Amino acid sequence: MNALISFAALVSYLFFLVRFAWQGLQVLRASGYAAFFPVFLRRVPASVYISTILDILFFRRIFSSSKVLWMGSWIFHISLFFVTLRHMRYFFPSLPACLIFLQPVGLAAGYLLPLSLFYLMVLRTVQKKDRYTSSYNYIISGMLLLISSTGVAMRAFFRPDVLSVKQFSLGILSLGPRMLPDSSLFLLHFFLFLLLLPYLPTHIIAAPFVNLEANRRIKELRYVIHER
Amino acid sequence: MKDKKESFTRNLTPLQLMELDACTQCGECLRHCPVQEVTGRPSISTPEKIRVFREFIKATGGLKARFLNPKVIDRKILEDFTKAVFECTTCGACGQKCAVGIFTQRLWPYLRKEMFDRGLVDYEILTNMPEAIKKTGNPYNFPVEERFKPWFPEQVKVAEKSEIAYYAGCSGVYGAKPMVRGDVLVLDAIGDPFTMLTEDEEVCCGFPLFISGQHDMLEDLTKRLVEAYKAKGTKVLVCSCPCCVNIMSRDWPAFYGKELPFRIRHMTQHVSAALKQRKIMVKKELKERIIYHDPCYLSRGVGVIEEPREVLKAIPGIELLEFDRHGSESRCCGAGGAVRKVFNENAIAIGRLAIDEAVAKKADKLILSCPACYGKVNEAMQDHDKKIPIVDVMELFAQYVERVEP
Ligand code: SF4
Ligand code: SF4
Repeated sequence: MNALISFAALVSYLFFLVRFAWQGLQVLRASGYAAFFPVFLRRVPASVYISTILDILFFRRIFSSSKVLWMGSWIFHISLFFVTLRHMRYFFPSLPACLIFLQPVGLAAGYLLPLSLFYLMVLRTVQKKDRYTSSYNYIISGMLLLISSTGVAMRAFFRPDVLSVKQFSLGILSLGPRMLPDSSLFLLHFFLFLLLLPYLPTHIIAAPFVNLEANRRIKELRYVIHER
Repeated sequence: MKDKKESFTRNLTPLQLMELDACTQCGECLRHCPVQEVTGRPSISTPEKIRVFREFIKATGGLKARFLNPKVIDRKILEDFTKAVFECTTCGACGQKCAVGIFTQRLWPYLRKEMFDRGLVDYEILTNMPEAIKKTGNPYNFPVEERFKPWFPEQVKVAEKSEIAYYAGCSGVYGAKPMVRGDVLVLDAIGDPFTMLTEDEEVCCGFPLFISGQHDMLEDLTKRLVEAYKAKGTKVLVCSCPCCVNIMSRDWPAFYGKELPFRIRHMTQHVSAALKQRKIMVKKELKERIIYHDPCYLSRGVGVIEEPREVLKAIPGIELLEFDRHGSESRCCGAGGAVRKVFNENAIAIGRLAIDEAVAKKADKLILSCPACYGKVNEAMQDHDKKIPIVDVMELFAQYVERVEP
């Protein structure tokens, strides 16, 4: 069983990597491999980079358009980020100081994550008239909601033995299967994560590039037809 | 090589491929789409079109397709997608408000091109265009000899050669005559000599072909026009149609193969500069509340937002009102997309949104500055319960402008 789970984890991780790499390859192929980098490496004013960083950190484009959606979206993404960082403790034999420092933030984010997801799902259902949701979105959100809720349940009510979880995770990383933690909730949490991993949306890689281009375009709009 | 030819990515730039991938499917853009406003059909919305096109790419060039078997895409799905991508007015509002900043105004023509290349587009109004342009120089198949004669003011003299040239454009000359007549009268008032091509020489700028995804003739049309203006010694090419101005400034250099030998100027830029240089002035008052509608391809397209307002405000007594959505966030008038005749119901309903808002704001006149808007909003007012006089910027300005004698 342990070996099987380790194998499943490996397959899931491989699928995830191959899918992301394939997506990148598609873009490189479309540019004939050579033309991609010049597009993105051309000189861009510092202000464009600053705008892009602010857009990415604070979701400014959504903020300017819909505060209701922004609240859910931003809290969801920021929580997911800190929860991911908190989970790093299972993958480092001894945790770096910066990650130790972020543990309480990650804990709070863990509670916010399912709440924000629930909020977003309600928003999409209530505001159906002008909201769009694909079945893919529903599935991903639903899975994340389950994963985060089982995470919260483990933290608040049915705590597994953290040490054995850590040993198990390190075992998977080193391809040396270890004993499964004795917690069915953990098993469910982990299994759902393995299912989700290959389907994670690739927009997390593409969106920052597109946003950078959008900011460059906005800056340049003035000069399409006006003199500099 | 075979797969490259059949790939759904063949017409897309790397950036556009990334844009397709970057859509988070958040649906935020739906609230800003005029077609959604009047149809309420998410199945033809931006994220859905992007999702479906991603599926096409996956089905033919995705991992599974490459290593197992490419999927045959159901013809009905391809046809539905084609319809959806043509029902769009290509106004670009969705991209303007997109959570990640996808340049949809530019993306749609290339998705349309893909569907054209696959033989899925059969709107006659589009498929007849190349032939019509070959025959008459304009996409509407109107007679060449009627290009200038019916509206050109007799008293205005056109120079044989000049550094300033005026391009009237097909939509204006055949569909919005008061607009192009106004342009020429104002150019005459400015007093600098200007030249024009003859009615045979002034062919389509290529915009309707570009926007509908038929790119074969574009290089030829561009080269013909650019060389003709070059031969006339043109240094500044003035035009009032936002669509022409858009393709001239954004795409002509690519089709021409190098930088253009002249600058492109929108008519309002030219007039605003003439006002600042005190070549023209306005003394007569117009005590009216007017509301100005920004054309998508002028404001969002090339960033001409201030100049039309400067020209209008030069008329003493005018109170300039704004639509709730104005400037680079303006709402399409319904005329865009090159297939407004096919999706006429949408176009009329969208046009009426502009009329209703202008009337609700108690404007005395609705000012437009695009021949397509001019035709469609006028049509939208027929049989509509709300009425407002519709005037083009230059049509109005021409009635007030006076030359400042040196
Ligand atoms: S370009 Fe305009 S009409 Fe087309 S989908 Fe976007 S907002 Fe709607
Ligand atoms: S706003 Fe942008 S990212 Fe969101 S659904 Fe629309 S196109 Fe996609």
